[in-house]
Amino acid sequence: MLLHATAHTTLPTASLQLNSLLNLVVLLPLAGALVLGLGTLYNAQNKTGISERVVTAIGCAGPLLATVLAFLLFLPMMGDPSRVWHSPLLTWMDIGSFKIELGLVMDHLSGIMLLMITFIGTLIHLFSASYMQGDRSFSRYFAYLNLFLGSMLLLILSDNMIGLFMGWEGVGVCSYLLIGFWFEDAAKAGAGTKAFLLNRVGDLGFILGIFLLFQETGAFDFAGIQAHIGQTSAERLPLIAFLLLVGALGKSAQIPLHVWLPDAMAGPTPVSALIHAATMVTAGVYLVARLHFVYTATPSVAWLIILIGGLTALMAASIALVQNDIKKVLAYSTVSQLGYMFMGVGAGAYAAGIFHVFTHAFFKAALFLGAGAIIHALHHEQDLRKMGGLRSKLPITHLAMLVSCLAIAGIPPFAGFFSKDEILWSLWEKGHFVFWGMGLLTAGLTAFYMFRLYFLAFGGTYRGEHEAHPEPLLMKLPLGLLGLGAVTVGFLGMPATLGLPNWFVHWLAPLYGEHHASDPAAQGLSLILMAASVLVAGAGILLALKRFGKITGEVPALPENALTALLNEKFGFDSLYQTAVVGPIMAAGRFCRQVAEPVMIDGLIRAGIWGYYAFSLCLRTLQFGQLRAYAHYLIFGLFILAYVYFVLHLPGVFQL
Amino acid sequence: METTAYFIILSVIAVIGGLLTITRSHPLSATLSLVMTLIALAGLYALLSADFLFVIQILVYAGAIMALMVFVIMLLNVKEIHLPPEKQIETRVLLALLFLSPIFFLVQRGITMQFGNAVFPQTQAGYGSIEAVGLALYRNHFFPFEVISILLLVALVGVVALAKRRA
Amino acid sequence: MLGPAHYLTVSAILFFLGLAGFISRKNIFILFLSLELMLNGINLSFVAFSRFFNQLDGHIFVFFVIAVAAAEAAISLALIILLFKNRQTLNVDDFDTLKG
Repeated sequence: MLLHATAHTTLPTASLQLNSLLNLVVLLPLAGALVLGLGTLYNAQNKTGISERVVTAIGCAGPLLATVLAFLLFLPMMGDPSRVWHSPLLTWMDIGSFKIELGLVMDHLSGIMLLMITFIGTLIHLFSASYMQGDRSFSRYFAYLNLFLGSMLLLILSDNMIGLFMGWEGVGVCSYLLIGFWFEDAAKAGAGTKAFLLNRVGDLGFILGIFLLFQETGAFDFAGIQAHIGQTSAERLPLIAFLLLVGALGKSAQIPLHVWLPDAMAGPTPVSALIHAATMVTAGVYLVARLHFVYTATPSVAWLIILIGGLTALMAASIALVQNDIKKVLAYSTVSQLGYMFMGVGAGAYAAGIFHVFTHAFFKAALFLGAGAIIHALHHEQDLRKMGGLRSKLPITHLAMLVSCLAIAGIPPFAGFFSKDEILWSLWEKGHFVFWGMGLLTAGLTAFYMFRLYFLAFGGTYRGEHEAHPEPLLMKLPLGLLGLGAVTVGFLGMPATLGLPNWFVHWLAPLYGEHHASDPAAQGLSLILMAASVLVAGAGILLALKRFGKITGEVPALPENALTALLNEKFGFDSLYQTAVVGPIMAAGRFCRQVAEPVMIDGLIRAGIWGYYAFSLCLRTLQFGQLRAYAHYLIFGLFILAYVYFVLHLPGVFQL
Repeated sequence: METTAYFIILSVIAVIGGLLTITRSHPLSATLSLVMTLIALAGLYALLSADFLFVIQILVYAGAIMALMVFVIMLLNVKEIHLPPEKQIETRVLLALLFLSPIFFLVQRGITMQFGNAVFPQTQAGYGSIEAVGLALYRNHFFPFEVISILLLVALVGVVALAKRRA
Repeated sequence: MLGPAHYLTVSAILFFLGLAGFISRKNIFILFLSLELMLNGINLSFVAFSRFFNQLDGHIFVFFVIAVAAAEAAISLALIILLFKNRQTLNVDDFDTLKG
């Protein structure tokens, strides 16, 4: 296998001139965040602060320039496959053998992620300018969004664990800030806190994993870790892999740390599109793909990844069936698709997993932005039961959402078909037939609930109260571009088993290698499997059409039975955490508040104070305030001293 | 023998002065009695070959400090009505002396036991002279000497601060 | 012949006279004079010891005591003046505002 490390060592010297542009890619959004943050402070003090137009210009300039730079850096890589941009930043610490060197690297994996994030990020910034129009905290929103983008780029581009962790925490805090963006609403602020706390659980595992990995390999940079991975102890490595996986599970909302993502929908919809669908939540997948050499060496943990991914995909898809909030449906869909990605990377098909990250970013961003456009048009109505018939009112949104729904359902030739099929094929090829079945079932469920959403929103007649107004131009443009992406990006990774050119796998070959196994048997099998998944998806769509295609009156209520109750309860994870974790902590807190503090701590101190006070009352009576009384005390002391002296040194004076 | 006679005379004057000091009712006469004691003590210092202290005692103690006392008493213009009502001062002092007598008795026994038969050795030439004390002061006790000067400065500033205060 | 015992006895008598005056009198001036009396009694014993041990350190100490007594006299006389101006009395029993 051609390893990534070799690309590092054979760095072409001619490429050094453009390296500093890599720093600019990260710095531009951060600079925007700084400027807008200061502007927000200025706005807070002045009634008429920076106008929204200026904020939009500043906020979108950073991502836009970063996108241009990303393309500029990407083009030479296309021409020369061995080229990797590397920009060492600084030596942060150098204490004996403990050395942290920060740097940025744009190799084939981070390059493709960089393109995707900057491109989609810019589009969502543009969309936000229209969506957030008139909000009181317009500049604060863009400051957070720019900060998020900068942190995400740092996460993607870091060439070491420390920089990655800094970006990781940066996106975490931005996620918290943006989920609780409308913090006057206690429920929304609580959702932010929930996301933050669950991510802390994951990050604890992550940072422990980083430390243990350093202890084993003595390196923080990926190349060094990869070079030393062979020398690690066989007992320690699975533990490290598991701890790092815990971090990835937290960030990517997988079982059992998935409960924060649906609640994260409390934030503004473009935030959900950018952070909680396209970029941040895929950081876990990116981490596993980046540390593929660790997981290749630990098949047991890799199997665990597939299991968690499969369970998450199936569970989230089934919960999505019964959701009525348009954003909640999309949130569970995201969790489900993330499960797909984990199945892919867990099965060792890293290229397929990253490919799904890539295509998913496009169609899920389009879906969220479409949902945002609908919500915006319907005056913040999110209930699917109060939509319908929006096809004629929001034509561009409708078109973008239709292709995105087709893409996520896995209908050829839309993007999702290729990436999802790549993952399913990898599962089958590696012999994980059960998980293949789970994936197939999930695909059917996905097709059903996505088209349920589609038909409820666009089909039938309008059931809401508000008058829908058409989407503005600034919304149409990102929607159109993302819809276009949902149609086309799939062709980057056409199935190699059919002898078609798979550019994506070829592109990532310097990291993961590629194999050309196009024997006729595999070709036939592959075709059969594809047909099966398309059939399942088609069945899902048809079922949705039959049940929800032409609803004119009330939306039929769900049948009341054990299954729907379970789904409505979201498999009981929230109530489990409530009773198992939150309850005991609250009880402990109440105990400390009502018993431990007033009785055990304050009581002790009060007893001490009262004892001291009583003692001092006794002493007070000795203070007559008269000089001669004090003189008598002095003489008394003198007597004692003289007596002691005589007893010790002149005992003879007492003998008559 | 001469020395012994001087010692007895001076000691008796000192003790009588002390007794008068604590039994006079008016402060002025008490102060003058104390001056008597101090001068007698200066004589005792001279008997002990402490030339320098003899001078200092007369100049500083009996001269300056006691003159200051007299000045203050005259400045305050203390009259009989300002004096605290004290009846039978002699009895009270006698009672106090009786109260203290046991410990005095012990101290006296201690002195007798330790130094009962001891006599003073011969002195070297120049013992206790101003030159000898000055050399000892500046050679061996220079730092305390400086500290004392600071203490006097502090006292000076403190007195000015107290006197300037409008009560 | 004279020995240190004689001087020390005089010293002790003066000290205890001062002590008796200090605890039996009420006039603040007399208290102050009693204090001086005690100091002088101690001074005498220092000088006697110094003579007995043939060393000059006792003289130095007495010198310091006189210097401290001068400072003390200045401060306490200033305080007495203030007290007398405020209260028009010399009775220490009247000064009991520090009563606990």
